[in-house]
Amino acid sequence: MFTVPVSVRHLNRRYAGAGGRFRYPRFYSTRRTENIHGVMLFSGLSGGGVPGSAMLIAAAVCICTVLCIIVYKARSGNRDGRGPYRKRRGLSEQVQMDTLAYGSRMVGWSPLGKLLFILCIIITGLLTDSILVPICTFAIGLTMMIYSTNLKIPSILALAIGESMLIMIIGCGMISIMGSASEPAIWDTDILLFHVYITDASFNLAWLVFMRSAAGVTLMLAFASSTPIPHLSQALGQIKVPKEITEIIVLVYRYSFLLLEEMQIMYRAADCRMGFSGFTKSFRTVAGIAAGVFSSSIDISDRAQNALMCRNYSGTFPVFRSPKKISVGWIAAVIVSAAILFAFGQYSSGWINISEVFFGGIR
Amino acid sequence: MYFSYKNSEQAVLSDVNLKIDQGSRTVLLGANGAGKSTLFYHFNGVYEPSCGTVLYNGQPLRYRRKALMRLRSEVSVVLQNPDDQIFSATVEEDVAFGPRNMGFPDEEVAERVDAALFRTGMSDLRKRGTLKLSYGQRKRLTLAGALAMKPKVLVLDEPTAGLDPQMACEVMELADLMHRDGTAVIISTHDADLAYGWADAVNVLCAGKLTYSGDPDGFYSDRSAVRASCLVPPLICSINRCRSIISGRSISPYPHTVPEIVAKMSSSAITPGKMTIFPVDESASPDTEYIKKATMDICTGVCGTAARKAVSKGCPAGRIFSGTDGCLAETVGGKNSALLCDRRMLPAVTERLDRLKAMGCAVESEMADVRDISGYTED
Repeated sequence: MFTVPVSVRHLNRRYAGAGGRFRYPRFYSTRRTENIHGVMLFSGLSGGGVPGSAMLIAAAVCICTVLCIIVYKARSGNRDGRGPYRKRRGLSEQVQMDTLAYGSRMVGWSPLGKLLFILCIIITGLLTDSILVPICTFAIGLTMMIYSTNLKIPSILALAIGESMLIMIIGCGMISIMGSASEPAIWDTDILLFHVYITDASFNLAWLVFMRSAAGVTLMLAFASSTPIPHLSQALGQIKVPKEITEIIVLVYRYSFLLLEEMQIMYRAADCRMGFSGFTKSFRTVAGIAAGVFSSSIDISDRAQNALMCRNYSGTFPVFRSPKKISVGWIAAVIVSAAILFAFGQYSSGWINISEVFFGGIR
Repeated sequence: MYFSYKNSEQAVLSDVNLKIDQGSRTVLLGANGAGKSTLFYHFNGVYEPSCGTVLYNGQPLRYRRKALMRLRSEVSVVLQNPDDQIFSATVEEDVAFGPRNMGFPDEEVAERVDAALFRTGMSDLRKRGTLKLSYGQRKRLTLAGALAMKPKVLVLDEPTAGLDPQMACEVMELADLMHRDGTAVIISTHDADLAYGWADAVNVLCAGKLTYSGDPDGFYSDRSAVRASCLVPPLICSINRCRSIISGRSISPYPHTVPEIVAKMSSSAITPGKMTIFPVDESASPDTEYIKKATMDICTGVCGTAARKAVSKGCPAGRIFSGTDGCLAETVGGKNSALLCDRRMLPAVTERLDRLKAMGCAVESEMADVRDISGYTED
């Protein structure tokens, strides 16, 4: 069947290219946390306009990252007996998320419908000044999240929620204490290095930003926990998002976890060889692991490309059981929900003054 | 054919000239780094030779997109590391990956997925996450992915590496089943015993050069060639050789499996027992009570996925894996045995019996009448 005779035919190309070689991106990220940060920044900036708020939020992110590392270390345990790397963390996270998404009660819903609905009500919340709209969207998001996950929230999602809440609290706290000096203060004091100057406007704005962020987080998590990545990719393809982007989403999702697992194996191997027995050695080892992961990523991308070609991959990641397409019912539901929320926002603007609720007595 | 990687002067494959026949069982032997996997990638056009040509069905491969798609639909390569080849989150999604890429309609894809999962014994795991599977299950999943493409040529790169004996045996059984269906199966391995017992043809690669191409006996008879290829002779081959030196009898015929060497050694000293074969269909469930009664107090073995499925439904089985060899060895030793055998594997069993006859031991066998009681209900 196969015959490979020696001949003098010179062939220019060394690799058979089905449309040329395609390198996969080599970095890791999880869509869940990206979504959270994305919503946070979006909500913060749109609702804010407070000078320096972005810097404050950036500072908050840094603090939270440090806190996350501490949480990770605490979760991991110590290096004796119970072992820090006992659990295949990266692997289990993907398993958790996949299990959650495929087992969700909302997995059969149209991914595009869900995405459109969530985006529309988030945007509606941003278009109105009433805090009641973000509260409503938060309630909707929470209900959807509970329905989707059946309250079985995996640790990675719980950590993501915790992290985002922390960032929101710190960020909004900073917005509230940095009121404009031209407005009368409802609380003016010095705490350690901070000059606290809370005004009516800054306090209300902080709450508005907080509620918008919280609503965004719950809505996006409801979506993320009920939509497997291949479904999302296919849904994006339906709205003519370029194939390159949708494919990269799927491939990054798959291979980022493999890289993470590779890194953990190196970590364990280095630990077995006393790579972390001292501060300087630890630094050296971590640098070595970083370089190792980088070169591994090249190797993995090569092997992955060959494997994909072996299975006739032609640039579109197929889905066996295709998710439902968006229907007219979905579009109608989206329009009606957005319209109701917007009208309610316009009508209820100024109904609640949060600063009065908290500081009414002081004033 | 010659091949070297880009930006490298050193040839990974040089002067490779081999032919693989349709429907054959071929083993590619070679030490680590000999170029086995690289050669495999030439079979489905992933790599293009630097010099030389690869012919498929007598035609040179064309490295155009559509031609490659057609080729890869017929030539399926299963890689050594299953993680490289598993792309989807669930088992059934991953098995459907290949057929979907081939553009089949939903019904056809579903049918192929069902069949591939059944054959690999993974029907119960179809909804499971791929990362929740054990290494052996992942290996079977990659094989299911290849089976679902219904290839004409199945190339398995180190299919038994890292597997426990049972899983290794099941994988080889599947490869044999594919061969029975007319698929040319090519495997690479270091396992000399496995290669010797299974293959019709052996190709040996040493440092990128093809040093031998022919039947297994021819290669393993030349001990210096085996050593030069950084390989070891199979245990059965060594025992046969030693026995021939000690007894002064002819080294041929060459036994390839344990029952065969037992048959050759025992010769006419023991009267062989009788082997009863219970054929099992993929789509039916045999009468377990009847089989239990018929196989009471004798050695029982299982061969094939359908038979293994029947065992999970209550059929008796002493040897879950390597059942054919186990039963034949017992029978050659003078005892009766019963083999619960996938109907599609019957030609393989008949072939084994014929080989035993060639070794001078005619084993009596009979086909049992197995009554079907109901169709399988997939869990």
